[in-house]
Amino acid sequence: MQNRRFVLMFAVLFGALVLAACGGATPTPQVIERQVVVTATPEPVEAGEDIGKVFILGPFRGPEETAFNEVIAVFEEQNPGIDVIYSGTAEFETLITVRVEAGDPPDIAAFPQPGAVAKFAREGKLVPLWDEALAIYDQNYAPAWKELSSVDGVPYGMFHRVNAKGWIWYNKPAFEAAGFEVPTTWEELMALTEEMKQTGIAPWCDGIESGAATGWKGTDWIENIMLRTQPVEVYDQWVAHELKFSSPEVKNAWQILEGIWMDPELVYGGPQTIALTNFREPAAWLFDDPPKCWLHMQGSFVTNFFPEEVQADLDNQVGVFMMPPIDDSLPFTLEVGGDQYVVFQGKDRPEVRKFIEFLGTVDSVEPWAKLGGSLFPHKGQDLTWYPTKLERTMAEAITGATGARFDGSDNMDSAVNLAFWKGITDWVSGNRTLDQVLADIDATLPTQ
Amino acid sequence: MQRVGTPGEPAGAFRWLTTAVGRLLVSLFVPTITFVVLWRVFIFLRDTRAPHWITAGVAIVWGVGGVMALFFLANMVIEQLPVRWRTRLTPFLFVGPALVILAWYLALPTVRTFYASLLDARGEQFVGLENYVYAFTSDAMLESFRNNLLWLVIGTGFSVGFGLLIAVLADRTHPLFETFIKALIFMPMAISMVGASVIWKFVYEFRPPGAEQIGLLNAVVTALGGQPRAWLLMQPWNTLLLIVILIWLQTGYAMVIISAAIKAIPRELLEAGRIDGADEVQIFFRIILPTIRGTILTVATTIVLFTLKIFDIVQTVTGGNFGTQVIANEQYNQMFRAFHYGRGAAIAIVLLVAVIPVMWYNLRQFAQRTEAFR
Repeated sequence: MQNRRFVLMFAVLFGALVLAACGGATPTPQVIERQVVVTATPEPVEAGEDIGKVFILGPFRGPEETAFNEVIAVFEEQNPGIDVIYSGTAEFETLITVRVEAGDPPDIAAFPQPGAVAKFAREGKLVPLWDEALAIYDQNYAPAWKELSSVDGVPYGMFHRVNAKGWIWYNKPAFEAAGFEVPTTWEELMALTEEMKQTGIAPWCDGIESGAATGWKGTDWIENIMLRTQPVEVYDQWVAHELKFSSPEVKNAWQILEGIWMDPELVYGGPQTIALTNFREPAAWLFDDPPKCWLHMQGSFVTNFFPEEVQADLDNQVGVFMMPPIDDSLPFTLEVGGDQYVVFQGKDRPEVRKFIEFLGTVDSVEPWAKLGGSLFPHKGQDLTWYPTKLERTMAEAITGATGARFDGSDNMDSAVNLAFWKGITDWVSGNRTLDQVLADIDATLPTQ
Repeated sequence: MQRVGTPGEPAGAFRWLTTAVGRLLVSLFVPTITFVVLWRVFIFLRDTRAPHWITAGVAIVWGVGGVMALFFLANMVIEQLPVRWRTRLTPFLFVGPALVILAWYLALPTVRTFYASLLDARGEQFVGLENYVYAFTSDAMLESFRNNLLWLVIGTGFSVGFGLLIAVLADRTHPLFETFIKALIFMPMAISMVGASVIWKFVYEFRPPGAEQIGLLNAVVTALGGQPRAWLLMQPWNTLLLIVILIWLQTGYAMVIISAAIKAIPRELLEAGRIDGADEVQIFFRIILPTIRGTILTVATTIVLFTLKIFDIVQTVTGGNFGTQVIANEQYNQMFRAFHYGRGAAIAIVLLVAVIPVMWYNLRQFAQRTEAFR
């Protein structure tokens, strides 16, 4: 009697599962395809008939994700049959590592940090850029970008959205009403901030809090100062860990920042406020009534953090100037950052390649540029796509840049990068002295 | 002709044949077919690009049904065997899978982690105990040890203490009020650690003097005439403020369990004490406490384990900055931010070793108490 029940149950389950197993949409050849290994000269894997999905993982969400989906829409229109799916995560650095280690990477990942790209490239997890992609680079980008996406001389990533750093923002109506003038040299900037002290409103405001990445804002300052006080070769040595943090060249940069941040009369709320404030907030303080401060240093993505009424009227409300040179004898190098899109080994399919190549063309720029808040390095873009004169000026500076260097800390070894962030945080919050912090960071330098 | 499946009565060669054939089928054929089907469905699930709801549905049937099928299968196979073998093998059937899973997901990774802790940052070269030297001597870890000790002593002490106090007091009040109070104290347990951390991060929020204070603590301080302070920067108070969050969360847990234990104390004991002339304080310390000692210890050790592994609160509120670093957060930093696998593994092992004595004690208590019930 029990046996009968068992047999019946088996029959039902058996039948259901057999139906499922045989009724699946996937023919057996699919299993074999996954084992094809991509060799040094990338050969695309032959795709099945209805395979047209491309999975992208990236760090940006919210309005930026919406904008990227617009870019995807243009691609899908041009390529019916390919479905591109983007997912954004706040824990990008952690998640991408976990997925790669688990052998389940996405098809494409958008990396804001070339250090991470280098790590994966050296582990052999990435597909180097193929001929068509390289041709697009030579055609549409200034040579600096291909160099920036290279690891040991081999390009891996296609740059799309970029930003420049070192911009100093101000509340245009208030600034002009107070009779201030935009400084063109460092001395003029220092004199301006002295003048601003007299108004009772702090000259600068800043914030470094950013969850687990707290402190990166300070690293932006140090890098910009380094580019303005040292020749580019010295900057490169520093980023490549051939120059210690406690060396006079680097320590000098920290001391210049000290002169700004550690003076409680120069920064709103003093260093304590800097340590605890999220990096997005001070942008809005420029436009408080009365403003909490006059100047805010931040990358070009700051426009996303202004109050809505300011964003609607950027050209009239917001003014910007580039941080002036400190050492006039040095040629001007722009500090840039950007998302580069890389393909993972085992995911090199024709539709994936198509999307990467698409990102290198101006068609992928138009939808996002029109939404505002992002800049692109592609030559041949129509500057009128950007909704504001502000962005046009910045895009011009980027496309016209001869010297460009990536955000130094993004390019550094992960352990050093982490120590750099922590060092800034410890120093600003008064937890450690400058020399202690520099020694702490030096202790993490790779010993090679 | 006799029908198969008639209960009980054996008779005839036909019946013997069908039984023997049936047994053969069951022992060999059906398992094979079941395995093949399960394997095919696994391949389907892995490679399909069907709509997600189909994949999900099939996965559920395959998962639940597959496990059931395997159990019945194994049980049936064992039942075909002689009685002696049956009694030997059945325990393995039911405990085996759980043991295997434990071994695969817990024991094996622990061994692998220990091995990884002897390798370098990328897990390639053998470096001996170098990572352990880091784990015990680096500034970050020394700070973490100090902080975890604070969490342990103050966090557990106050959680259990407040839990006990509220349980005892609530016990003596009107039942309705008691329910209300207990629900109120227990509610924070419904919030995730990260959610609670975000709430309290806002409570501790700092704005410069003169600006409007959005943090509750600073708002109260300025309302009383004081200056706002950057609470999360002040050491060592910031760790204590983080511990407050834990106490807020765990007091409810301690209270509920201790309250149940208090209600289980026989009334006669308490009345006997009162008759003998003891006052309430004496009753508390001489009768109640000793009787529920086991429960208090269990609750305490659970919270101790919690404080040793504390991560979410520190990560969310300060990220481990400003002197609030704890062991688990430092391990996360080493593993996922600095990508130093050797150190991350070493710190994990250190934490494991720190936790083992507490767990062993907890289990021993549990074993002793259950023995007392026999």
